[in-house]
Amino acid sequence: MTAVIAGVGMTRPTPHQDVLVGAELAASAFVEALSDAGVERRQVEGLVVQHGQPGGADYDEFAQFMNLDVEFCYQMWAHGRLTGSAIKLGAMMIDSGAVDVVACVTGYRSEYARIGGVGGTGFHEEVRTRNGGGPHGEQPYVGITAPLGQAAMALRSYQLTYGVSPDRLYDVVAAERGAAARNPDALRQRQLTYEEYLAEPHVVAPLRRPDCSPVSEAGSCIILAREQDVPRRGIKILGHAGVPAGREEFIWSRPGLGVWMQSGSPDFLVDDRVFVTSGVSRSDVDLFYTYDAFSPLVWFGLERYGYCGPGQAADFIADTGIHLEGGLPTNTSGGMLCEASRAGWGHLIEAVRQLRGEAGDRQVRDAQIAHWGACFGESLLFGRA
Amino acid sequence: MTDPRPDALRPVRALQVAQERDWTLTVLDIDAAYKRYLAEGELWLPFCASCSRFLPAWISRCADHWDAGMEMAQVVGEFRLWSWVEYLRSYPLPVAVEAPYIVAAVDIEKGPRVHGFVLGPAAEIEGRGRGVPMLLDRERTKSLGTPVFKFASE
Repeated sequence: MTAVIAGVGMTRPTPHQDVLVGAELAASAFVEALSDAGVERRQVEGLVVQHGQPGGADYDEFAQFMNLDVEFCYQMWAHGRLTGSAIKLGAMMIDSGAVDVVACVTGYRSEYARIGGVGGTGFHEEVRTRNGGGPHGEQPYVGITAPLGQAAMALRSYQLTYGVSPDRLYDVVAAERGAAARNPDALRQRQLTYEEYLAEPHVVAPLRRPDCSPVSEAGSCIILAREQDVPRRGIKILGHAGVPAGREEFIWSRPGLGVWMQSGSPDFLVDDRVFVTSGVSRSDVDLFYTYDAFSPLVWFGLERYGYCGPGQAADFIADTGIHLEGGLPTNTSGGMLCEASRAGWGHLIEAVRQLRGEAGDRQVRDAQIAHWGACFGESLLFGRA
Repeated sequence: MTDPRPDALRPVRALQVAQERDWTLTVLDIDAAYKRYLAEGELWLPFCASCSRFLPAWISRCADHWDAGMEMAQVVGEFRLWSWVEYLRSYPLPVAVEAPYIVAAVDIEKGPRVHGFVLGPAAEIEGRGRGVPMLLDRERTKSLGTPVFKFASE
């Protein structure tokens, strides 16, 4: 893609922001990203909003709030599964020649998106209005409440298929806590011992509390532009693959686990789309970022993209390491599990900062290529300019 | 067995039911028939005779046999455990079940997995492997109006 990531910005995550509304959260990140990119507010011609109302700011509300004069806007379904798609769409706006500078922005209040929480019967109002159940497989009439219910179901299915103990998720939690300890903005910075992890209560067994991301407020923004139009060198978008859908896909699973409508056939194909279309090899990837609202999603993401075989993620993590000094540093800001539940935006911004060499104490040396690859198939490759 | 009634796949009072229950049900105008049978202690699902397969309750036409139509049919044959979770805390539910409770994903013959409660202590399900035979607990299904399964060995 000719568009590059020119600037990033995000609000500091907090469990509760009583002052800021969604528009202010998004705007704070937007102002920071403009400054980071060296772009003037009036240069922004395109706008992609991820989380609108409730809790966020709709595209027209945001443009009015920030006194923008934009000519190409789009607002996504307010789900983290489309975070990467927001960036792709913004880049496509530029590549098409329609606009020169795009702001991709999100901001939402946590009470409207309790992704890691378990209170209530569902997520937004959708669980009550979709005929087939909520967008994460919520089915309150059979007791499946909140997004984490089907994530736990996927983990149990994984355990029954491959014989891997859920207790081994400790290594995921420990790696992300280790990274978070070097991120002053992370909500969960304290490392857990294995015994402490096992002592944590189950929320929906087999998921324990540390396996679920903490609720947070979030404002995030990524500015896209053409390389020649911005003063600093941008981060290149080397490849992308869209969110797939169908009966073999489910938001909290990779194919093959038999969750929701998946057949459960273990013979799933490794998702190579982003590598095939970019020409980048999996072995070229220095950093891996994956959606981790719940810890087993890290296992599923590693396996989906072929970093290890089916059922082998726990061994891969033990042998190769996903911590900052490991063979495949993963979710280097602490991820959703420890930094904050930013619906994936925190991962994308962290990848940019790592590739720029601006990640502070958690900087991974000489990182050249970062892969954002969610277990549900959303994928992007970023490269140092 | 199939349901010959012409309205077997049509909405029956679903909107009213959802409103009565404070919308804590998914909007089930499309699977009202499914719920109606559950209230009678039976498990019926949309069935495509052309591919001889059941479909989830909310899918009213077979995408592969669009013009063939579908009918509600009673699910018979073996039920087997696929996966399960245990809720340790109570959250508002539209059915009278308190935590801790178990939700199982159960394989049915010629059809999708069906989710349902397994009532009783988790210890009874711990250690049971995938594929363990199960039965629809008709009495509890009828009393709760939602699928309840039990182990065939009980």
